[in-house]
Amino acid sequence: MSNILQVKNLVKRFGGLTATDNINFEVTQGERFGILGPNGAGKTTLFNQISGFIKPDEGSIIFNGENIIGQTPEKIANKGLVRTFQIVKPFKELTVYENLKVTTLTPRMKEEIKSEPDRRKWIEYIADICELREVLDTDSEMLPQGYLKKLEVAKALSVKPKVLLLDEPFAGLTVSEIDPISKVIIKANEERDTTIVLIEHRLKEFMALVNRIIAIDYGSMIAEGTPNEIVNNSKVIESYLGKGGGDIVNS
Amino acid sequence: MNRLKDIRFILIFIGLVFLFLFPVLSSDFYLINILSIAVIYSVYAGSWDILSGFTGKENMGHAAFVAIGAYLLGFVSTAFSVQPWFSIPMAAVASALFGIAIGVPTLRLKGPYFALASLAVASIFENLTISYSEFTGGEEGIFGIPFLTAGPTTDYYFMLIFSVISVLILFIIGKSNFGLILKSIQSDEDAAKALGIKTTKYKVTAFALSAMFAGMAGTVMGHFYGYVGPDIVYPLSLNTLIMAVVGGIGGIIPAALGGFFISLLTELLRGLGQWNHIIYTVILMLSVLFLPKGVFKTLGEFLKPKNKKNKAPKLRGDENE
Repeated sequence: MSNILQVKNLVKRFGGLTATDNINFEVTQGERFGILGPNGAGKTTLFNQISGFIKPDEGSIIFNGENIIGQTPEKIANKGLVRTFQIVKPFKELTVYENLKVTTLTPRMKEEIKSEPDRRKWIEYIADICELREVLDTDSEMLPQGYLKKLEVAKALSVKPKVLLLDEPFAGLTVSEIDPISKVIIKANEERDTTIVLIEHRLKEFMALVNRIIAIDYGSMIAEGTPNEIVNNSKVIESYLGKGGGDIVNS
Repeated sequence: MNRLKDIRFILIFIGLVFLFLFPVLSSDFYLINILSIAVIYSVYAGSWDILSGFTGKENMGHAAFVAIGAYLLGFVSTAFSVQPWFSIPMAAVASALFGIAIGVPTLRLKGPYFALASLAVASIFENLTISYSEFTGGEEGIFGIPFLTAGPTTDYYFMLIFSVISVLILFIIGKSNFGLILKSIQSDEDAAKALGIKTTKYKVTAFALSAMFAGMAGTVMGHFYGYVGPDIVYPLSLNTLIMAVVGGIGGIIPAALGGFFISLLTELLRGLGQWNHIIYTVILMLSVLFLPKGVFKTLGEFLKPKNKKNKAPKLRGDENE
């Protein structure tokens, strides 16, 4: 198993605040990797750097053997490193079908899909995986939050990413809405061999989904390990409950 | 064959047949003249729409694009007697390049900032026109440009065919995958980038297309009048914007119809003397108040063939909204 994504000594400062403080981790091809941390820990900032929306001050990000620091978001996406957004970004004026169609018109997908019937077939295939088939012709601004979250994942999946960065795909959803998205993520990982990097707050669903986790707080890494090791790590518990939280939980 | 069931397509077809037959039915040169001008306005409004309606950059200086076509014709015609077959392609190339030149530095500007920048470009053009009157003729403009064709009827057909082709090309571009990508960029540029869309390339192309068609229409107008001057160019910034918005943006045809009918309306209201501005303004205000999406866009949606597939299914979780 090789490392598909490697983050080395990454640093990003905003004025006096160090949002990313010497972060190091490796993601192995085919795994489901999680990034955990309380609000404001710097998780989204980390994603913004990996996907090219923010340029880091120091360090390197190696994707598929190539340092991608300084490349534009569109260039990085076309290499197969694709992200979703915590606050969903559907193309509001377009239908779900058109939303997905836009993804098939990117340079990455244009090479694969050349004819209109192929395009429809691909969009319907993605819609089936993401349980969006019944809303394909609906304007995306009419969709409830649960569908919008599915659409957000579907758009990213539709460009056949090698690595999919998911930024809180469960945020703001009810338990019954989480289940289908969870399934989509597992399907994408197992059937399509997509490596998943997931940021999430909903601990129960998160722990069930990922096989390895790093925990960050105030921009720096505080722990790394399997879900089980992480939930029992006193530093992680402290970061959520405050100083001494670990002792309270352990007693 | 679906087209034949679409009432909108049939109505536009009937309208075009009427326009093509008009000189046969009537020999009123006044009407033929104002129709000639009105069809060119449909190109002005349609070319405004491909940039502003599709990418959301409200261009308040569309006259600058028209000015490139019109004044280039004026400059060249002082040196030699230039014919439309040469001047129109020349305007297309020059305007498209100018569109790119304006597009690249203003790419990052959004909303009111872009509107102000575009307004500034047109104002600079207007001031330059007046300041360098030895080249531009100043307020008086440049006379003696070769006429489009030999007579008003052939002029009319030339302009009608030019406009129909231009609006049709813009419409097809708008309906194409290119147009879809422009709309996705308007909706959320970061989301488009995150998927790998090269947004800069598409936005610059939209600038070039918008400028190209506006510039060509400006050249045709210059040939038609045999004259270019500030009075036929600079009021267009505001007028095209009004026409496109009242017609309806984001679909080319509604904007083009807005250009055509409002231009006709302005001309016909002139007969009412002092009342014309009040009536014109009231009509615009009412249409914006009651049909905020645009007169022809609303009409088009009303006439759209009802398709069962378009109905939204009942969704779980609707109560969350």
